[in-house]
Amino acid sequence: MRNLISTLMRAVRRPWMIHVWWSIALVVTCVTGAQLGARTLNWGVSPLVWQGERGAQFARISSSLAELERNDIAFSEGLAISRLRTALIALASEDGGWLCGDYESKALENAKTWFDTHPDHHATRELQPFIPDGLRACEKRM
Amino acid sequence: MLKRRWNVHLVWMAIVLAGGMSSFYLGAYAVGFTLTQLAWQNHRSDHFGNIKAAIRLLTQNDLTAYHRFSEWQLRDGVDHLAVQYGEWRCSDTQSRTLSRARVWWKDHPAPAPRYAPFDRMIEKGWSACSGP
Repeated sequence: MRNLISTLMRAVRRPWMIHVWWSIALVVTCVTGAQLGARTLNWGVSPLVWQGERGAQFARISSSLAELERNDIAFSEGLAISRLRTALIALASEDGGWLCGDYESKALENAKTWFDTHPDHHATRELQPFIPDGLRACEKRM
Repeated sequence: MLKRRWNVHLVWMAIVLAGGMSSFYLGAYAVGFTLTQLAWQNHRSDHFGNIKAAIRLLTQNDLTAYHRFSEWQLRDGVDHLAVQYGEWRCSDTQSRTLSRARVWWKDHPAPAPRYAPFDRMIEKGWSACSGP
């Protein structure tokens, strides 16, 4: 036993062992640093994401309630056009690095068909500046 | 010889510090990148869903269909509030919106009984503004 301990102590005190200790310290520091970085960002960003999501839900409740209370088809149609406008502008402003699923491509194809067959509808006239770019979002397929 | 040994420690310490800082940055970057992609993808799906719904509603041009969609949107919004994590404060406008929505919901009961867990979820959502 004593021999084993003295052998171990000699091995630990060898000059190159210093590099082993420092390598272990490097690995531990890197793992801890990565964990801390991930947790710090998560801690900072999560409340912002939740807050944004919460605001969006209240906005959705508020607009739906307004539509249900008004009971007016012109108002409902205006709201649908407004949703369409927001979605088309958002898709038109993408940088093009996204691929589309079948469901998404089909939604845009249907929208294009509808716009083509309803050229005089005031939704088509109103959204004309955003339609071509918005409908181009699925040129890349999954 | 002694000076050389200290230099070894100094070099290693610099490497460990640089490694720790790079790992911190990389960890934050990886989480940020992943979260951004997920959030962007969710928003994108919402946009496609909105396009599909709006085109369908404009095609039907029927007040009942519009109302059905709005009712679904209302319920979905309240459901999302029900599953929120943590304690949140509501602004006055948000509290008013939620209580108005609750009144509307009570005044317009569904003709057929709804699936009970969904109703419990809605009930939980109504209390989203009753926290501190």
